[in-house]
Amino acid sequence: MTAAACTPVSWLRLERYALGELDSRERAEIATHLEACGRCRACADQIAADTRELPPLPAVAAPAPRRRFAWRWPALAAVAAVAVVVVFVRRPAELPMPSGARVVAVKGGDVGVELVRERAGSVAWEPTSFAGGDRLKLLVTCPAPMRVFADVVVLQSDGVAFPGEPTVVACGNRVPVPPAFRITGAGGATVCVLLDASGPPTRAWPPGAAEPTASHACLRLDRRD
Amino acid sequence: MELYRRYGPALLRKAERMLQDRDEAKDVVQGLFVDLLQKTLGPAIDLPYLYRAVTHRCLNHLRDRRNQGRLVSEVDEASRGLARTLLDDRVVGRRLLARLADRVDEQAWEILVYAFVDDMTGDEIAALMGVSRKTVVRRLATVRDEARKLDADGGGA
Repeated sequence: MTAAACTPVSWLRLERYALGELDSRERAEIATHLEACGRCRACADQIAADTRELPPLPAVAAPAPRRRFAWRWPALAAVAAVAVVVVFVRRPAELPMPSGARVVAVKGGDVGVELVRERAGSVAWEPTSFAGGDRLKLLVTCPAPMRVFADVVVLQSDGVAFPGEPTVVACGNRVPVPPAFRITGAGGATVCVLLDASGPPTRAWPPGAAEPTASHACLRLDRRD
Repeated sequence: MELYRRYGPALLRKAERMLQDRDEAKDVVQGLFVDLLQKTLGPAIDLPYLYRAVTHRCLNHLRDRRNQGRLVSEVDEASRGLARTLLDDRVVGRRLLARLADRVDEQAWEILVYAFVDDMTGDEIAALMGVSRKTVVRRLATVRDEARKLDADGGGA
């Protein structure tokens, strides 16, 4: 199983070694091994030399506690003003949608759609413009265990492009719809996602009568190079 | 988020070794932490726990048939990193992982990653997954058999 004569120190142990998370006995054991094993030392050096920055995490609000229902106690003045009537109003459980998400009704539940733009390590949510090298990604928020088929569409003056393949998305909070993509054509663009809970959406634009179960959401982007 | 700052780079390197695509690896790691941000985390969240979580996410990514063709055709060999543990004589990279997806079960597939991508010993794998060492050895034997059959079928990496 082993390529070299030594039993390698796993990547996980090397990472924990670099983070200073191992006890003194294990640290000493690995240090001794690294002195003798060039391949493992090369891996440890690779970890130490990797100074690439992490992409920033989006600001995500903690979801409000999910409630099966909420009670309201509005007092209603009866016409005869004889008594105060207590009314209980039942509110259905709902998945908190990220603010700013476009909400699309799909069979089985609502789907929130957001666009994210990544440029030189910085992330913009719901951008209104893009430049040549920007990386774009659509995220959907919908209630598990729902699954929905999604297909990304990019519309420009010179035509319609589908950067990926129709993909089934297991619902959750801000689930990426593959692939992340870049827009290469000239001029502005409209980025859309076709959504269908019953099967892969047919690749036609605009979606029409042939696709009665499909929904879509779009976002217009100006080009600013 | 402190966990992301502390463990994000290690997890990104790990995802990149499995997926051999930095952008996809970033998506996987970011997706994990976006989900974690929305949960109340217990004190047991450490690097081994997150390593497993990222492994599962990468395997799901590879399992997705819609990703498979693209993943297999666009391999960045440099991002696999130094291979220290070989399956027979082969480096286990994204191509082989994707091709074994339908041939082994989830547990064997996960063990394959720990053994041949992460270079863990049988004892480490057993401790990480909470299974016996005997199970690890047995599942690795299955993986090896299936990889050989893949060669025999002409579909090796």
